[in-house]
Amino acid sequence: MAVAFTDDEAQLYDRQIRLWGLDAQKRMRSARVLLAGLTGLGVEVAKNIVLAGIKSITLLDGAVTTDADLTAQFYLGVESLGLNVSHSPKTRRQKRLLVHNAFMVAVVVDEENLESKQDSFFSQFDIVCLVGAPLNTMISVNDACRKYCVKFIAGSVYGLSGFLFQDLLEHDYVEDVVRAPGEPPQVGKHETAQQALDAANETTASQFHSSFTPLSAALSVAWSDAIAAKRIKPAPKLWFALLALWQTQRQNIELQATSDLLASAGIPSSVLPLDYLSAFFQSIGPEMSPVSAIVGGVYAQEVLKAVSGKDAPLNNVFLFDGTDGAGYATRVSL
Amino acid sequence: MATTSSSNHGADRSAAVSRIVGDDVYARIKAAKVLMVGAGGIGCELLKNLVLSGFVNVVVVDLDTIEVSNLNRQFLFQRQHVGLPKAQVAADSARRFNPQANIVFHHANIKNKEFSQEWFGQFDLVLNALDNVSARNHVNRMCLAADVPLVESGTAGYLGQVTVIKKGATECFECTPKPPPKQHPVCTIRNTPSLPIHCIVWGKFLFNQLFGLADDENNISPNTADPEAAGDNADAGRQDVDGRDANAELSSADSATNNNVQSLRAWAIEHQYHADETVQKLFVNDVKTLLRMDKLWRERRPPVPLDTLLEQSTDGTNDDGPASSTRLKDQRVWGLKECTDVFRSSLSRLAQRLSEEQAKAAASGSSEAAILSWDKDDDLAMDFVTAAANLRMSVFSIPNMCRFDAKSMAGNIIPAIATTNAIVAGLIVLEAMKILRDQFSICRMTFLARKPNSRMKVLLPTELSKPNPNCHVCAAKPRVTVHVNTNTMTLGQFDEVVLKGRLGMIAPDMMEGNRILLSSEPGETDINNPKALSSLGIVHDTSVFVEDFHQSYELTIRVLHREAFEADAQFVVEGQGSVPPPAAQAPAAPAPTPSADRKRKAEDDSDAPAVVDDDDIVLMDDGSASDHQPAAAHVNKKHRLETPADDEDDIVFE
Ligand SMILES: [Zn+2]
Repeated sequence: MAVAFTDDEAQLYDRQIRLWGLDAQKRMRSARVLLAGLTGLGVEVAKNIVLAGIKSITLLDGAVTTDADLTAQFYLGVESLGLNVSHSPKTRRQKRLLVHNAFMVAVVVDEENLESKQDSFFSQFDIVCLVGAPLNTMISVNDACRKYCVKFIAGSVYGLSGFLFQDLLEHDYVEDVVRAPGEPPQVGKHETAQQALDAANETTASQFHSSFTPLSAALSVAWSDAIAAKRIKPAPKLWFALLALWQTQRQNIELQATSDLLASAGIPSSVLPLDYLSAFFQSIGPEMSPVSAIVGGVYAQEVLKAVSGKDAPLNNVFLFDGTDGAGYATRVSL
Repeated sequence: MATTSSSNHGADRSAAVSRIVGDDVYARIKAAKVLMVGAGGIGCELLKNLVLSGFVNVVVVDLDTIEVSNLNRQFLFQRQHVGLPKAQVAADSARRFNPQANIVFHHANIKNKEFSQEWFGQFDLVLNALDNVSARNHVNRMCLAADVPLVESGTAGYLGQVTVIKKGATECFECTPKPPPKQHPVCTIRNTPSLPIHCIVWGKFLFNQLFGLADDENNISPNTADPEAAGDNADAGRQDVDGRDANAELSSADSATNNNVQSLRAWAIEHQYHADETVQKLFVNDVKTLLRMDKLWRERRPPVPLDTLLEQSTDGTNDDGPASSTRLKDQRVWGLKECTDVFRSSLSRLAQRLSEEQAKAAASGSSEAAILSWDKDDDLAMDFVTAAANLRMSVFSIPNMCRFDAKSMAGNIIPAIATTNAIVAGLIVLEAMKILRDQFSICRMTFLARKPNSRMKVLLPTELSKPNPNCHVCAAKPRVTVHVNTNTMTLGQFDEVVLKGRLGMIAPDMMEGNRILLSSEPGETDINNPKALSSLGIVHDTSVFVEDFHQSYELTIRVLHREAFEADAQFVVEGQGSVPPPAAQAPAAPAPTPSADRKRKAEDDSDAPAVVDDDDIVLMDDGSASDHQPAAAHVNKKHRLETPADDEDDIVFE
């Protein structure tokens, strides 16, 4: 249903409308988002997408607040833990989030566990966002989303590093491209500030398409063969460290950086030094607030791109490597 | 019991942070005293990160108050906080994340004298979350003077940047000169506009001429001395008292300059801001004056006076509803008649407001004349500029523009978003932690790009550059060469546009040999202000010594005489490009200004953005309007120069 923006909305969202345009803002306003996992990263993502003005967000997290949450979750005051100490009912993480919703975004709280959800549960959303989920959950939810044509994104922060993976299915989007010389300017039709600001370098909105693969397919890349055959460019080290981590989850073994682990995960030793993996494993623990902010910023911007159909998404992996401070976007797929 | 649980949780928090960063680093974080300058888009995110990372001694300085359009990203603020100081609300909100944190706030300008070198010296670390170059320059100097490490940051739309500045070890903020904003020649604005921006700038100048700080830098009347029109019938426009050459005015005595400039204001007062007569003068009579300068129109489409346009016009209005599902109310382009109506009504209401302010000023016994300050968020002022600019666009056959776009252009808004600010604020804290570990060698300048480069990077760390040995700020003995016309530039102008405007000083003292030519003590050298530099002994190849005591900044300036400058420039600072007068500046995207060698590095690695600025970036074209200043202000020229960073600089946060 097309509803005109109120003056209030126009004022509140003025700056971002100037950046991504009214059409994108309107599509955001109709977006129904599921966010499962209110870790430090999850709260960052929730904050960023609620601020942008989506239609609704369902916060799914069955966990009780922990000490570690204090280091990364800004909506949790010390008093939430104080309730536990004084034998009050345990505070669910998402309760604390409600306080900060100053916007017209509907917030739904769901205290069940993600693993208990039927596949059809995910069909009510435009995008499903997982944070801190284990590998098998990510794969099964991604597959369920595929079944109902729901876009999917998942991510985690591990110590100083973090990642996100997304499967936006067959994704259409609009991007402002610089208008070819000689093409007539669109008078009075400036959708964004950039367009309006530079009359000599005017841009026009163009349609693009991007095809994604599910996580299961991205994980099935046979790296040794593919690299040897030069069919794929090696992903950054952190991706292989994640593959090793997920291998330990599959095998339910301890985090130990060994060549056996690499071999069992199909990771060529040339792309993942063991000392790097060892340091990565050691850093896994409580989330660091600045890392959650960085990964959460990228994550939320990808969600907003996905639901607004504006701007090119990062297809399909983003990695923030805390050891060198670099952020990588790469496509893991054959 | 509450105390017990509270301290327990403090310990728990410590344990969690310690586990990631190590006990020794955590001890340094807890002991560190940190200054955060700016509590806007980046600042809100940064304060949250700092508190959650275990920082407990934080001082926040910000001079702004909260506006509705901040709320989509400055998440520490809510609707009920609109109008309150950002520093205060940010501190109060962040304290709730960790009640044990000691967050002190100052609702003040960081350039104030109270924030002395000694005051800066108490901090282990300064984190900039600023939105304008002027304040950044100042904090850069204060940190160099106090030898405190500084983390600098900025965002613009999807782009962001974080870097570290350490005296003697890295480039300082001013090692690489910022290119001056794009300029539009005065003659284009006054005589031959061809782009919407020319008309927008004209509209803002018109506002200042009628209601604001009217000076020759924002003269909007036809310029009959346009070199391009030379040889025209001498009678052409000379009858028009406003039609003098801007450069000639600058070179003439002050009285003549003011005389000319006040003429439009005087005319308006004489005509009691009569709406119809003002429309007639600006859009009919002045246009006819321009038409008489027929050389201008040999290769150009001549303008058409508004009365003719209105006779031809059938549109009346293209009103098809206030807002629709496809556009905002402000995204509708007004018709010619509607523009005329809005111009008339906003003119009358602004005139009314001006007279009310003057009455108030008179009642309070103020000796200064009340004026109105242009502010893009003042609806009436924005209506006026939109209408005036569109009428001028119609006269010059330039396609019209809706109010929404006019605001982007007039306010020079580079929008800021929450996600970019969050990413940049995260990067700042990671750099801060390296500094606390004394690991300057691994500190980086990091760019946030929109798309990955060929090496798959969207966040691009690059090594920090060494200090520029010729930097006019951080070199051992800073020196700079300035070209001016010593016969026409007065000491007052030199003080205003060169020392303060360009070289970023706040209260300079200037000496030539043993003679004090300019004193920062009010009144001491005022007598010199109207005198040309040459009459004070500053001629070709004179070296002067300038000191800003507050900034602990000393600079030797070699003055070279030059008769003429390109593109309306008044002076040139060697190595910094030409600098036209503050009039007629165009809006521009945040200026990419990496140093040559950094640029090379960045290009090796990507097409990363270079220097970008925090939050909505506003390039002011005349320095007279600030976002957060009341629409009416009692200022005179001297005050204007001492008022907030936002006021005098080219870049202002929305
Ligand atoms: Zn320097």
